[in-house]
Amino acid sequence: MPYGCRRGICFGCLTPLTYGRVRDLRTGEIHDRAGQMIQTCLSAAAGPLALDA
Amino acid sequence: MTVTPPASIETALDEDVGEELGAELDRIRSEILAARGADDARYIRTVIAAQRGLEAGGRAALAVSLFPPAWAAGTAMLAVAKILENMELGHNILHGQWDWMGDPAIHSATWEWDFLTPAEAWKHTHNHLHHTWTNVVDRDRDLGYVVFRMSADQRWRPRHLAQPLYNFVLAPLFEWGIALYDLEPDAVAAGRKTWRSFAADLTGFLAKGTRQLAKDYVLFPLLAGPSALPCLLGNLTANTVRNLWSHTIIFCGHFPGDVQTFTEERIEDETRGQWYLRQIQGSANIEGGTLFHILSGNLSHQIEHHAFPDLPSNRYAEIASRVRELCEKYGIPYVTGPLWRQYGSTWGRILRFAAPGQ
Ligand code: FES
Repeated sequence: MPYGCRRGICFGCLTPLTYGRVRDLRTGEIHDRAGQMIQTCLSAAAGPLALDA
Repeated sequence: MTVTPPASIETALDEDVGEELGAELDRIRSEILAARGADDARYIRTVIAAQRGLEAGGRAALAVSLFPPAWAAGTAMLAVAKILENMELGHNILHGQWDWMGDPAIHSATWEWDFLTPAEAWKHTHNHLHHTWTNVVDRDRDLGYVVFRMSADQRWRPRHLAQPLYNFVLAPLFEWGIALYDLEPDAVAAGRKTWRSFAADLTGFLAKGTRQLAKDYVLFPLLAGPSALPCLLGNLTANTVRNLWSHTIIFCGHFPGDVQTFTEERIEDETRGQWYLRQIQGSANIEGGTLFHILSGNLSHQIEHHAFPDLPSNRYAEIASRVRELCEKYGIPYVTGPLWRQYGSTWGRILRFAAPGQ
């Protein structure tokens, strides 16, 4: 999985969500749209999911 | 101008201050995140439309640029279009400032800019390395771009005597300088980057560079028929103007004399608040009107950009007054001033550190 700063600054860790839900650890926002780019260094799984890494 | 006299390192990095300031800045950040929406989206789409219009108008005028007024108008429009594309659009979109819109055409993962270096290479050296390690000697390669000495903590070498000259040469050729810099030849020499990844980056640069040069110096001149030569010269002028402008804005955002640099020891165990403090003290703002801010890609709010690199650039102006108030409250230097003063101060720094010692 790609990464850079690991602290939410660089957007070097963007990975498309294949299916499922993730939670943004800073804002608490839930992302669940397939194909959406996920900032993986700041996201936690919110249920079963797959990333297109 | 500094709002308050430079605080001592101890005051500036005091832990409690850092924590309180961090919490206040986090609050500003979440307020903007909650507020951003349709108006912001309209803003960026308007800038894109204006940029596309200016570019189309500029290219059309340059196609008949045997006629001198068409040359002047075309070159001016194209220069402004390129400035907008690199600064307010390219730089900020590649930071992910507009990713939240979910528009794949305006996204950090897909945008490619009108600049020699490939977006991918630049995102690594800029977003990751520079923004994480802002102004930390030996960690932030942007602190002098490997060529200049910008801090007393950087070792002096005889080649630094010529750095005023390097600056004269770099300014009009800025996009070439950045493209070479993004290849990280220094990291390869130091064994921090493999030859394999250097070769991959070089291939990417050659492909992108060829496209860029072919577009401005072959395709559009050929399309201009009898106006080929003035069209080519117009494109060259527009690229050079953009280079001079972006070099000026970027150097004035980090190198005015009062901007601080940091050593690796000093940032050991850095807290979130101290990270903010370093971003603020490692940047400088440039004062000006709305149009100036847009043309600078809002990097005239370099302090706010470094504190919040992924917030939409159109929000920096309103954040700036709040960040400045916080700095006054905690006695943290906030370096800002008009362009001419920051420019002079930057030159002062280049001259000062060209000589050994302080
Ligand atoms: S690794 Fe830098 S934003 Fe995720």
